[in-house]
Amino acid sequence: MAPDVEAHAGELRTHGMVFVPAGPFIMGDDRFPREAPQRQEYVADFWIDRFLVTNEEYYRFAESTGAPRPAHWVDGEFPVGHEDHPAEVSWTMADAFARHHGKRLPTEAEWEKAARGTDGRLFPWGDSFDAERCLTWETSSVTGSHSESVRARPTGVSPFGCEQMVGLCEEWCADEYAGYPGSTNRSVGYGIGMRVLRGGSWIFPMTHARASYRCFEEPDLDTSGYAQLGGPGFRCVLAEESS
Amino acid sequence: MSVNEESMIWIDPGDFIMGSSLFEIESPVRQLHVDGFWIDRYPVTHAEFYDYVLQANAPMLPDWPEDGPGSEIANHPVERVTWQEARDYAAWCGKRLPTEAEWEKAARGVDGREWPWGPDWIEENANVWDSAKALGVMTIPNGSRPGNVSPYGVIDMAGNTEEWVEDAFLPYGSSGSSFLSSDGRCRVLRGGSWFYTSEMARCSFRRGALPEFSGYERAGGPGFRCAKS
Repeated sequence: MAPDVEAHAGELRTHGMVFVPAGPFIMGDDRFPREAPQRQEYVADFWIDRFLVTNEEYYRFAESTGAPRPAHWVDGEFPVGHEDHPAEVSWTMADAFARHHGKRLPTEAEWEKAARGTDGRLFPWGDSFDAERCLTWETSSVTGSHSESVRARPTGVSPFGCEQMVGLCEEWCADEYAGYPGSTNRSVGYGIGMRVLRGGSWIFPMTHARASYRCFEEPDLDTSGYAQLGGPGFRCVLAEESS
Repeated sequence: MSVNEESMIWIDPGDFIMGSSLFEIESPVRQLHVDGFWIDRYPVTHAEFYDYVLQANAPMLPDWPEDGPGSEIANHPVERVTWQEARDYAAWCGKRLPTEAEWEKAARGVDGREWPWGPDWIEENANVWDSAKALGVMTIPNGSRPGNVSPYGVIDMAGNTEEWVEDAFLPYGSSGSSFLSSDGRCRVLRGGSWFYTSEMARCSFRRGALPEFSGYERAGGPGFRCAKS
């Protein structure tokens, strides 16, 4: 069932989402083999969640549908006080959440456009790394902070209004992990069913917090290790699908 | 203590190109003189570190079973060592940790190359997440990747395990980078590991960690190699 952007634009479905108008943006970075080549990429209109999906939102989804809960939750409950922290789940769980809400996970191109806008900037806020605007290793290595509210970094906002795009937790994209068209990089990780992760996390340094940075994991990642390491989170997209 | 020329490599005194313009924390690129020094050809292995633990009555490492590391990881680089533990091991051997400049010179030689083997990334040469996840490996035995060799013949500087060096983690010169981990409390880690993607295995990549940091279960943690003046 294809959601119709026009019909739903003013309705509750886009509550908490920001609109990213159709058009080209600068995708990729020639200086990093997995991110090359840099090119103009056209992306159609879409809506994307302003914030990461929270523990509380995922909990309500699991309560109403019987969907699996993260294995690192204790007795099926997220840690006390973490209701507005990101839900850290497998790709399969994230995908099910999105579909249940009539949405889907963002493509890599949608995610990157939402994170850096159209001008090819390195980080959501500009070209210089700023540890105040995102939770990365530069801070967590000293404070020990492995999680925080999805609303904790308003100054890290992207040109289109998304928050916490980089740092805190990696974010699942819809795409299978593969080499970009025209890339000369070869990798045994390409084309074997891995899914793309974007945005880095508290455990990774600034290298991973760039808007064009790409990583990957298996879609059914075992979430039982997430209590200590933290796992990927996600946000959803609503778009008019071409058939 | 005499230097074992099989296990250590002599790095001639002289200038080399240190740093990179890719990230502010690696900037500026400049020529730096380093006195001659010896550096271990390979990272310290689990077997070597366990031998030290037994002889020096030092603490066991977090991921080891009670009877020490199994034979299957004996010749893998040791992981999950704190900076002080690495220093203590080096001192026990009559050695020391390399400085950050020594480590980078041993990894990239004098010509400013990005990788130990040259200017271009070659996935087969280093055990990093790009391939480790797909191959289902964590650390692999020292010397498993024949191409992971620096201009001086130092092995496995890129990937497999991150390596402690002696220095505090500070911005170079008056570079504008500043954040909590660069305020002087942390020590420098170099070389990336199987858990991190290739960007962190570049010769000039640097990050800081508190000296008591020993990594995480399922993500591994720091190892090291020794140097000697």
